[in-house]
Amino acid sequence: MSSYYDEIEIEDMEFDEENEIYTYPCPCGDRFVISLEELQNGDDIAKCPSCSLLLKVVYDADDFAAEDDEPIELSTAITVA
Amino acid sequence: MIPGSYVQQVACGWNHTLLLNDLGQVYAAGSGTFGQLGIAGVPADGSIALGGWTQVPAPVGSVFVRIACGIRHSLALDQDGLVYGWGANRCGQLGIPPDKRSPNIPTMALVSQGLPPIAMIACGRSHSILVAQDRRTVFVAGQDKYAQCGPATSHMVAGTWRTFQLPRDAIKACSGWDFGAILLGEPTDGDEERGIGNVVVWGRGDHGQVAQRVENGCLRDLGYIAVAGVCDMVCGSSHVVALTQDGSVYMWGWNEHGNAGNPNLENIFTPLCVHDGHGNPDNRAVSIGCGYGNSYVVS
Repeated sequence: MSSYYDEIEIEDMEFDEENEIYTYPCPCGDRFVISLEELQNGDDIAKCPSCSLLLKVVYDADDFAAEDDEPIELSTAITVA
Repeated sequence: MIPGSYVQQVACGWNHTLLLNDLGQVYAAGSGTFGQLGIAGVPADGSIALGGWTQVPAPVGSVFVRIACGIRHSLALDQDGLVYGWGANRCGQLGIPPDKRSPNIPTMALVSQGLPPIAMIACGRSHSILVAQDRRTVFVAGQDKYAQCGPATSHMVAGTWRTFQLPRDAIKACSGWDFGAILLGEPTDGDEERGIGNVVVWGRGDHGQVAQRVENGCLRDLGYIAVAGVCDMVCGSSHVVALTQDGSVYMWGWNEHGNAGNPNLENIFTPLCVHDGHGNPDNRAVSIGCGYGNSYVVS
């Protein structure tokens, strides 16, 4: 048994566009929260502000990689004849 | 205004609520992000949460007698013993095989096809529990990661429903988020010797939900709890509250917030008497209730 309350896929979380956070119900009645920024930084633990419980978020890091940080791949440059 | 003269039952999901009036009609309010309101036309992204009560469209002639809500799905039992469901079905919690591309069922669907007439319904976080009118046959569907779908000996019957038998008649079916609990009739001859108490539990037990310490955090078998004279029982997300005929209250399970009645905040793995009605005949508990992480006793 892991020390997490559960492992949840990002698709099962609700996205709050205004606050840029993903949330999932916590058994205490509050919500597990992880921000878009935390996901972009590779964090995968959503925390509940009212509880000791933790939620592990399963997601594809590539989907959240911050675009600004992506190196420009020269090989994709189009060669103009 | 809701027609009829009174509301006979209220059921709450995570952010939706259902009402059942005395005419057997179901009304819904709240968020419909996962189709849990059963009302077509609510945007799938939940951008417009319904502001007032709206009747959930039902098959012509249906008269409902019970309602239940998981965090994101809903069930309604009609007077003929048929069960209708709507909302999230990603785990097959509505008894219907999930469609990966559109996992939500946005309007009432008959979900008890292939099952005998049903008497009781209950919903967990991502599973559903039904008890047939014989009061012995249980059907469970949905997530089974924590053995929510019952003992390892249960078998598939129809849709995503699995089934198993109870040793005595069920009085009431309840569900926590990741476990099931059914109140049985009083023990008959020999039951006590065989350890068959009056509450049967299965599923997740890492926080004491099944009133015993379990390996790997879940009980993939039926567990029995013997608290004499239990006449009512309710489940929070991860704890249980039981009322006895003499007005006592017992609790067990998750207690991080003191929600299972123990001020030391330790989880409770053996039913704890939090109110002694026998010793306080003038202050008996008469009713119990709970939210996800809290409990109520009316004395």
